Order: sequence, then structure tokens, then C-alpha cells
Amino acid sequence: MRRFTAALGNNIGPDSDILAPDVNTNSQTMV
Amino acid sequence: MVRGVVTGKSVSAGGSHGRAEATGQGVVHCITEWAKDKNFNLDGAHVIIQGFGNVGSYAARLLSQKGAVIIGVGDVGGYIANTEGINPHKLGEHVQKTGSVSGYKGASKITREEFFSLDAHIFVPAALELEIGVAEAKALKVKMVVEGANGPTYPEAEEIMLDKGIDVIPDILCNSGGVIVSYYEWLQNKRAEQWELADVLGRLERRMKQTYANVRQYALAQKTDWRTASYAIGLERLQHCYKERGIFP
Repeated sequence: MRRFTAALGNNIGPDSDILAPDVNTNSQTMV
Repeated sequence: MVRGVVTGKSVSAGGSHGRAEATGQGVVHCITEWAKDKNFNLDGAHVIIQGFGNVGSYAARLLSQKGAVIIGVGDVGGYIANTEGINPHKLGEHVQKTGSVSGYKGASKITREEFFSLDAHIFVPAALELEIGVAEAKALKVKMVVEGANGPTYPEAEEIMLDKGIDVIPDILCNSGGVIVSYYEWLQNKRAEQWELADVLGRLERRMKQTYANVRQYALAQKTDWRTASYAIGLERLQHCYKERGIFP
């Protein structure tokens, strides 16, 4: 998950795209 | 820097109270509103749920609290039924241990076909997309289908269900509880605030019920199904924004 988030780079951010949980994730995944 | 970008975090990592149960809770708010409209008593109502992960398990617990009886549950491992009712807490423990509802001692094993034919009032698909096809739609005896999952219904199946008089509450309305609280999590992160659980749940309830009412009103006024009404409302909001701001190019 962290590698995925890092790879998204500038495409996500607090004022652009926000990630939310999905099937087969939990709060640990999201953190 | 994960705060403000990722939601669904644990509370200790800056997440919001109420996020875990939010999607299931939103589904139950929609069911409650539907029941009010129909003068349908949830106490003693029979419910079947497909999927017992985050959405399914919380919806089951919250519905049980209202007196509803969970008579059938299914997931990737199989389907189980008990017309006397399945205890969602005990089932939850079983799923934690074994990874599936299959093998739960408080219910009997049934087939997927039998699951869809169970005598229930409410069906909550809370698993994966495209689970309800023509065969399932023809078999279902329920009064309403509340889409806890994303895209669980084939369009042909929806036609059949609507013709049969089964109310279908679309995913984008009834499973939005989760992303609504994700939005609250983002807001809290932005403001460096930590709202109390009661605040989060209160806002969620008001938002779900208000939106439900908007969709119902639109569907009635435009004489359309609720999925179309939901999308139309969303698109009209965008249209209004574009017109007002003259966004270009």
C-alpha cells in the first residue's frame, strides 16, 4: 500500500485525490 | 505524509471515529428510511446478506439491533442459512477465525441457488460486483435489495426485479456511508480536529437520510427508478457548478 501510494506521487494529495478503503483492505493497510 | 490524503486510517493514526462501521451504518439508514416509507416493521424482518466483510458484518449487527433476523449469509467460501436467525456476533467471530462463513455451527450449509430463493424481506448484496443476474433476480422473493456492494446488479436483472415490484436502492446512494465518513476524516485531518463518535455518526445519519429523501423525491417527480434518479441528481449538481462558474476549456 505504501509503495502504491508513493508511486502515485503528485497525482494524489490533500487537495487532489483522496484514497479510501476497498474490499480486502483494513485500517492497517490504509495506514 | 498520509494524513489528509489517505482515509480509513485507524483512529490512532489520525483516522476518524465511526469509519469502520460507516458503510454498514449507511446501508441500515437506507433500510430504515425505506421501512418507514412502507410502514414496514423491521422488528422480526428476515434479512439475507451476501458478503460478511466490513459492510456485511456491520449491517448484520446493526440490523439485528433493530430486531431483524438474519436468516441467510454467504461469502466466497459458501452459503449458510438458519430460519431461526443467525447471531451476527458469533458469525463474525467464526469468520475472523476461519476466513469464511462456511462451517459456522449455528446454521446449515445451503447452495447459492437456495440462498437466492430464501424467504426473506430484505437482501443486502455486500460482496463483489455483478452477483445478481437474471436467474438470481427471478429467484429473489424479497421486497427490497439494498446495494451494499459496488455494482452487484446486472442491468437485465434490475429490470426484472423492478418489474416484480422489488425496490432496488442503488449502490451510489446506500453504500456511500463509507466515503461520507472518509470525507469527514479528510475534513478532520485538514482542521486538525478529532470529532467524537456521536458527532460523526450524527452527521452521517443526517446526510444519509437527507440524501435518501432527495432521491426519493426526484424519482417520484421524474417517474424514474432510484439509480437513474441518483445519477441525475449528481449530474445536475455538476451541471449547476459548470454553469455558475463557466468552467473552461
